[in-house]
Amino acid sequence: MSVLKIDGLTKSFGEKVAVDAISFQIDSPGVMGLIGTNGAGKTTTIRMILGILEADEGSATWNGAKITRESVRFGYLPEERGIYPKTKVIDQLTYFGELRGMTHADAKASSLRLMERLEVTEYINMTADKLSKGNQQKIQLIAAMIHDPELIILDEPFSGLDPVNTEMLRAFITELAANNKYILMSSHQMSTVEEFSRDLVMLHNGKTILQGNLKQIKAGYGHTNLVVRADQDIRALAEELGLQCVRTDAQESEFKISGDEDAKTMLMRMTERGIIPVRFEIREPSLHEIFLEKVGHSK
Amino acid sequence: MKSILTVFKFTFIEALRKKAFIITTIIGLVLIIGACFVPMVAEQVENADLFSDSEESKTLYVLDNTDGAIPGVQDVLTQMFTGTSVEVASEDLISEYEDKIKKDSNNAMVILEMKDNAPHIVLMTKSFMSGLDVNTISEAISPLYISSVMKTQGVSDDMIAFSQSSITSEVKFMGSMDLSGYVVGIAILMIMFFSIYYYGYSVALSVASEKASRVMETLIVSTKPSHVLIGKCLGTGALGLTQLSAFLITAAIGYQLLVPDDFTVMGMPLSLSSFTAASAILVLLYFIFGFTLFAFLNAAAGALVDKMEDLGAAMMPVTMTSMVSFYIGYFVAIIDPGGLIGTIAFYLPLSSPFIVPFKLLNSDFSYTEAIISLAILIATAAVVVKVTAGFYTKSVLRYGKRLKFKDLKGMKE
Repeated sequence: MSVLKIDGLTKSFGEKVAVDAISFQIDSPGVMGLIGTNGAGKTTTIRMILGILEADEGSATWNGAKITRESVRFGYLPEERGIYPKTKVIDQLTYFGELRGMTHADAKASSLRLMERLEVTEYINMTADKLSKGNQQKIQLIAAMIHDPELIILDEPFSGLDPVNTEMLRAFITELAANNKYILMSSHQMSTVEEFSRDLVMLHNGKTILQGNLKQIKAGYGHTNLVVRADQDIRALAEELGLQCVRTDAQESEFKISGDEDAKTMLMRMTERGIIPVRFEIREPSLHEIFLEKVGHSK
Repeated sequence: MKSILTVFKFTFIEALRKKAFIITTIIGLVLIIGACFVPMVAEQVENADLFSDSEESKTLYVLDNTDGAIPGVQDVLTQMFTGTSVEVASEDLISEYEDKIKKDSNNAMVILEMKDNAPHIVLMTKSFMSGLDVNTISEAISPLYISSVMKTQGVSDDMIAFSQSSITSEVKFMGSMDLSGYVVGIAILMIMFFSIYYYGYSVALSVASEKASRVMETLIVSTKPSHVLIGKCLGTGALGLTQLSAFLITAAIGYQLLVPDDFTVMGMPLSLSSFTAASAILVLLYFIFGFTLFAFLNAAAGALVDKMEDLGAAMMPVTMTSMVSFYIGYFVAIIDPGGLIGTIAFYLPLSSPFIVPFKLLNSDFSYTEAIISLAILIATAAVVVKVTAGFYTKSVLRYGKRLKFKDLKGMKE
């Protein structure tokens, strides 16, 4: 039986259908990516799952029971970050912990542990408005994690973070997944989801345009890209073979190929002309490319 | 229930720590202590009119230019200003007296002269702050002149004494309103309005700031929105009661320690004897449920806005309602506590928190009537809490578009 099961969730605001019969499930711990452009329906879906918004149709269950505050211990990092600006960090974290049913002592201990893990202990007695945006985001994340939730829902967790904090959050999410947490992470940054997600649901205009295991999805597309780095410019050679160049930078070029045969031919021509490849990689399409292709099809 | 207590505790402690609360409490306490000093100061100012009560040596010069038309002036003034040296002055030294008076406020001079065939009194003091009242001196001296004239006209001593006697008088109030009840009633009415308005506004401000700062989304996945609302209103109400209690306890201590026992207002003693334990409990209940009614209405207004700058406009209907209710209570209290409007205001839940505490002290009505009025208030407050909790739940995560009545259907917690 699926642990988290979303079945036909639908929500309309007036005439506009924001989410149209979305279904997916998470059977085992790990990260599921919920991806789509802004306005695709990611946040509305999450709000319906958590019961913040009432679905017009469909259901969201955890181990077969409707998801409520009582039926599952969930942690939620909303897209719109919000903490009390004039309240001390430790006071508000303890407050959120107590609201989740923890004792004052447990909430405080858990806050301190997570603050240490996310390296924000120095701000413990500061009011939140004195913190940088990135540190405020960490505090909000601690508020979502304070009660050690089973199901974790992160809505655009990386938006607004600098590279150092992004790296720290990456490590933290990886740690959570390794600790058998069920994580649903929404993002419009495909590379982020690609890095973490085992499974994904791709939304566009409220509809599911792709879903399933990420590896299987990518494998289904086969080898579609060839990345070549060499001492000489090989774009003219590729053009002779009819390969379309999709990316070029100072180091390397990337071409579209229709199969492994194209790559083999390219390698032979290069060696014939004495061009030694420094890098020669045949790969599956990126999630970004898949998304663009799917959005194009859905239009 | 635990989450309500958690929100209550957090709201109470956070608000208690705020500088605005600390400053308003300190200002309030200072004003109350200052007000308790007023009767003492007023009494001292009143006593200062007697000129003689000061321990410093004082001199009152008396220059009589009436050729003995007013006999016994010096004796009367000596009796009047005990401890003051009353000296007969000489016309030749008048400039010296003037210099003495200019230099020292403990010196003054009374000049009696004839003007249009009648005595005329001139009082010379350093400034208006001397406290001497020429009318008081005139009232004391006039009988001397009148009796002197009557005597020269051959009127007997008995008749002269009789002509200077006055008829004794007293006032009896047949209603239950006396000055103490009126003053205390108006004070309670004002305090009720201030508290209900100020703390109700605090609730709206708190709800709106949680919505504007987006904390709300974190809150309502943690506990039921109605629990957040109830805890918040209870916390703010408890804070109001705490501040009010601090004010009232300070006022009671100040009254005991600083207000003179014989202090009177317009000749009537100020007494709090009409404020019984039963009436105090009723006032407390009216505060609790009146505050509940307006606080939840304010919370609904706060839940409507996305930005803090829109709060004033959203609160306008509730503010107007509370203002109108207060003024009904206030004018009924002043003009016609027992009339038709007073009776309606007594039972109307929006105005009863303002008018009933006043009527408790100033009007004849049974406790049955008060309990009926209180029951109506409690029932209305309960309905408002129920409706507002649903409205709040629907509104707090709604940004951009205002909530419509049809959206209230299917409200859930």
